[in-house]
Amino acid sequence: MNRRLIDLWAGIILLVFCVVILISTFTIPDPGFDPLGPAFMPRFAIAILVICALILINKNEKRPRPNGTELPPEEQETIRYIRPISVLAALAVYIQLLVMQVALFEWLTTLYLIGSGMIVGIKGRKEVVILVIVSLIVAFSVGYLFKTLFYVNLP
Amino acid sequence: MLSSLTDALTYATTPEALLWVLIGAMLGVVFGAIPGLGGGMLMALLLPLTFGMESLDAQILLISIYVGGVSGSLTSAILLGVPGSPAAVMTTLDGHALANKGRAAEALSIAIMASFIGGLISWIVLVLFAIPLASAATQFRNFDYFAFIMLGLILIAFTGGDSPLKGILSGFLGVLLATVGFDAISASNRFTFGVAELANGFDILPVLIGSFAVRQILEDMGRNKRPPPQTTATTLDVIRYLGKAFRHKVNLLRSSILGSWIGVLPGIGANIGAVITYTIAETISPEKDKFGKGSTDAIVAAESGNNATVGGALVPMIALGIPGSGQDVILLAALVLHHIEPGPLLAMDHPDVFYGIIIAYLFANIAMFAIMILFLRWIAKVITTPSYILAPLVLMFCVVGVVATNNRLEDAWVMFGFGVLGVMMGYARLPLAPFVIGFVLGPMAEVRLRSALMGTGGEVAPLLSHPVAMICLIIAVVAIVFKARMVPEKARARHE
Repeated sequence: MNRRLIDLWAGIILLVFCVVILISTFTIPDPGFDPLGPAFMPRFAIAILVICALILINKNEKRPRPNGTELPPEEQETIRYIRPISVLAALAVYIQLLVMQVALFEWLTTLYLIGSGMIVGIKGRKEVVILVIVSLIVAFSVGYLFKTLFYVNLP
Repeated sequence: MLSSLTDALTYATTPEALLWVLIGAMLGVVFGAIPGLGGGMLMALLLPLTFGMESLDAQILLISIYVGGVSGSLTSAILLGVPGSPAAVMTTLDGHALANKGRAAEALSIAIMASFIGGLISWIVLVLFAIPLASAATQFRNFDYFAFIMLGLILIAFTGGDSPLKGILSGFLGVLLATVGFDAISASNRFTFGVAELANGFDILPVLIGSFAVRQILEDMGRNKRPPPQTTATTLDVIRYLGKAFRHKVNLLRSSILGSWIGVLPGIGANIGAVITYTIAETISPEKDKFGKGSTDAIVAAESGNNATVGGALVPMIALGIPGSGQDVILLAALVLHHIEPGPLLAMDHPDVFYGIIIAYLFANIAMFAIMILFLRWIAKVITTPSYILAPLVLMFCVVGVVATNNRLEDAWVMFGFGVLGVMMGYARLPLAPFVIGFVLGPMAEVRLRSALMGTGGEVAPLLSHPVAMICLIIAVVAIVFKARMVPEKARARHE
């Protein structure tokens, strides 16, 4: 997607978001003891955001239509989506398993580090061995430090 | 005063006190350098353990962690593009850009020297002006604070990108998201949608870590980024680069003094110091076009400014018992733990502690400087760690760090959510620095404005009659006009 379309969609999404949030500001209870009330700041921020979104959309309309590639050369880089999305998914699974406390922090973390490391990319057997050793050492050290010494609420 | 200062100096040079300084500074640097952890969190975690220590030793340890943590966070900001605290956000802009050009050691050296000088100058301010400055800061009224915070918000909108529109948009998105949860004045729930976990709002650490760290790692992975060519440096290289900070000596001095003064303002100084010093430097720097793209002048302004706020923030803490930052609250708590009442009488009742804190701050800066210089060549090698180890490790530390801050596992989801938002903002080319600063300053601005209006019965005229508020508003208007003129020039230059 070129920058023109990105700006356009960013403006539209922001407008929709602002409308939804603005509607929900009317449900904020106001005890009435201060002149502005608790809904003032959100509405003020929404007003600024709406103005910015409209300017963004308007500027976009005035910008000349692209003929071929619109992005400058330094911005035309290939972005791969599969790896980042996989790492994000692995992180989400790791967090959910921690919240559900299905296993000890140390084991979940070891598995997460190995799994994520493999997604990021490993070329040979030696790297797998290094990854496993590092994962075990880090997971158990961090677990000991934070659970035993700092009493942090980790499973 | 002089004899008390000499006594404190004598105690601080005992092997035991020096050991606490070294341990604290080392731990602070290490924790500050790991994204997601940070010195502030370590201080909070270690606070109960200081109960068994002598009161002054506890202060020495905690202050050393504080100083080490602030300086340590510049490492992750520069090498990984992940600021450990809101104060390091401005360092990230240029430090990481310079590291990406293969000049990581240079960026780190300059930042360390600027931090050190900023710390030293703020120490001088602390020694000479602690009591008068703290008294002056108490003269600030709510309208003054509001105007000052608004100035910070407006200035930040113009940094980190060529589009002020996107800066303002990003900043006010941060302001809006900071309103989620209990309203501090009326205790009304805002945007919680019946979810109990949202009642306390979003903590700054998950927001900061999520939006910066998660986004940075995913973006690097998506672009298949390789380490920059120069990732190692000998100690001699490091020492040679240190001198480069003095090429910007006017900026160094100005930002340090300004940072010290801004740090004195209770509650807001530490967050806004680097923003103000950075923006002023950007406005008057001969290399203003390089700001945001890897300017050494910018690194000097940001780092000297944010480190100077530490000393500045100690001023109201020791002179009045008013914390200047989150870390100062922990220092105050450590005093209370040892049955020492913080406040204006601290200097009279406990001169050993009062002056001990001042001396500890100086020694912590020296220790931080030595540790950073000695270990810089190894710290800089972080970049060469293979991505299959580094990326998952950083994300894991982020999760542990945000969970440890409030002992809440659910905060990891907040971090994740803001990470996704950060990625989307990156895709839309919305700058992140204004977003985070807006998130931090928005609630402060709201509380100050509403409190002020409650005091005047809704009358806004005092906002325009208070001299400090007036000056801030005039600077804000001048900044808007000045920057608005700069933007078309930049666009024209790009077009040509």
